[in-house]
Amino acid sequence: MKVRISVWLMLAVVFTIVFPWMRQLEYGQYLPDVWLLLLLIAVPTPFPYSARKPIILTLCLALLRSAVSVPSLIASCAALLAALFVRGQLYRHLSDSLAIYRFIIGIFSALPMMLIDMSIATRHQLPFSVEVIAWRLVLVGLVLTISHRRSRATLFGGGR
Amino acid sequence: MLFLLPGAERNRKKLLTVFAVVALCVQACFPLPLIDNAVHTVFGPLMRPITRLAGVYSSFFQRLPTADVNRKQYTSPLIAAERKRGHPQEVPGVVWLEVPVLDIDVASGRMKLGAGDNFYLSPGMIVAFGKSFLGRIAAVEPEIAFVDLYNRAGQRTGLTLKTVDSSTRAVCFGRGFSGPAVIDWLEDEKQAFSDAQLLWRPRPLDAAQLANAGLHLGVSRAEGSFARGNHGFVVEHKIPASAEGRVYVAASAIGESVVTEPVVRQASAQRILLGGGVFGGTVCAVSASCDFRPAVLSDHSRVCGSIVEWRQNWGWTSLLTPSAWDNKAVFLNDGQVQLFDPSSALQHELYTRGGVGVPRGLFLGKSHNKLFAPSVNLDVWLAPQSVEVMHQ
Repeated sequence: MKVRISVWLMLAVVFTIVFPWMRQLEYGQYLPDVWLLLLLIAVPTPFPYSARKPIILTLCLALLRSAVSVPSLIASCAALLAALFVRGQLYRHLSDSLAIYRFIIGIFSALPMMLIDMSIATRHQLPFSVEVIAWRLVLVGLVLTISHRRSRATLFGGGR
Repeated sequence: MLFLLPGAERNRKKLLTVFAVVALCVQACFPLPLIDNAVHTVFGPLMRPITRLAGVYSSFFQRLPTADVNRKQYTSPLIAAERKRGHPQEVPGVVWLEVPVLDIDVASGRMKLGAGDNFYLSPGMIVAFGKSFLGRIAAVEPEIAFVDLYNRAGQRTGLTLKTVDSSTRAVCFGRGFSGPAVIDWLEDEKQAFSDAQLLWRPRPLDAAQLANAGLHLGVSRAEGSFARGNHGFVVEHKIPASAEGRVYVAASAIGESVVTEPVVRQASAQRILLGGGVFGGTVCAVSASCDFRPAVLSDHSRVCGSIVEWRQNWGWTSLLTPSAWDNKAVFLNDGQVQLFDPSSALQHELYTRGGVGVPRGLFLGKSHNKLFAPSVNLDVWLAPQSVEVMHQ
């Protein structure tokens, strides 16, 4: 199903407004990063030939993410772009037809973001336990195992 | 090159992507403030409305603490105690100037003061706290001064070794990082004993009356062994924790005032979002219309946490329990300032130790207090003089 980029962005804005509250729920800290999930679900595999729309989406998601969290805009951009890049590279070596491979690709895609967040948490002496990181990685992997989009002729529907 | 083969073009794109991602990751992990500031200057106004929206949504589910309506002007008991304990004995012809301390490095024997030429300080003036001799002013700049503590490498300080029934003159020699100051000259070596009281002795060009101020330098301690031929005495002297706040400089001529207050900037702030999208409830977004980058956030004179990220006129605070301030907190014990030890089971009222932009003496709460959610109306603080840490 083709979904327009504006739909993804509207969804991202809604999640951005709601997610800080969700993060404070009892088990909220274990939830995976919603902006990362949106990006990895919105941009299908294999990576489309034209990277214009994925990059616009990445920048918008990074802006929203840094608006409601400590990581700066550059840190969010780096984390999201690195996730796309790692997933793109792994996809070449591991077929995504098997669920286990999608799970592994999901975990490795989320790893750069976790490392950057960990670095920020260490710098600012914020609590960010390994347990939380592990759960977030696993949940990103699980969500990507279930949701799987393949590239079509046009990425986000509509004209170019 | 006029054209590239498809394979070469793909490799070029890949290389550029790798370079861009790596550069962003490096900036994310080892940020250059210049770049982050520039980015937030451009995109900050776009982010703030989103943060506000998220804050409004979150506030439907969060209980706010009751605001204290009768807000009083902030006064710190810590500073009052330091003043009471720190003023040395009055001596005729000498005035003690009160100067705030910006930074201290006890190991190397260097101290940075928050006044300089503007307060008529000059090299050679002696610096003390209570009955403790600390050192001499070594260098003076327009608004700051540097003190060479008695243990600074190469610093020579005159002493009198005093026991119950004898006394002798001596000179101690600072060794900096190598260890405590060593007593390298003794007028009468037969009168030198371990545990002898060390009294500071003025130089010929110091005001002679200072000898009556009763300034101490701790006690002498024997070191080495006779058998090896390296026997000697060292100075065992501990700089009081209160001296990290303010010290007293002996002056025989003064300007308009004898007290310099540290520069502390304060601005009112508003909570815009409690809890963040990545680090959850341990962070809080606040906005403040101030022209400085604040270091600490307080709620009705009680510190909530330290500012970790600032984006022009709003930023993020890491909410901390009082005990999480660790060695950046001090407490008053019978009027004496002591460094907080988190392993201690005793409960104390903690205050900020100061330094790295945090004003000294702000109330943190009791050591067993839990994290508390800041209310809507807050204050942000900065001690701009102490932002730059002294490097040796």
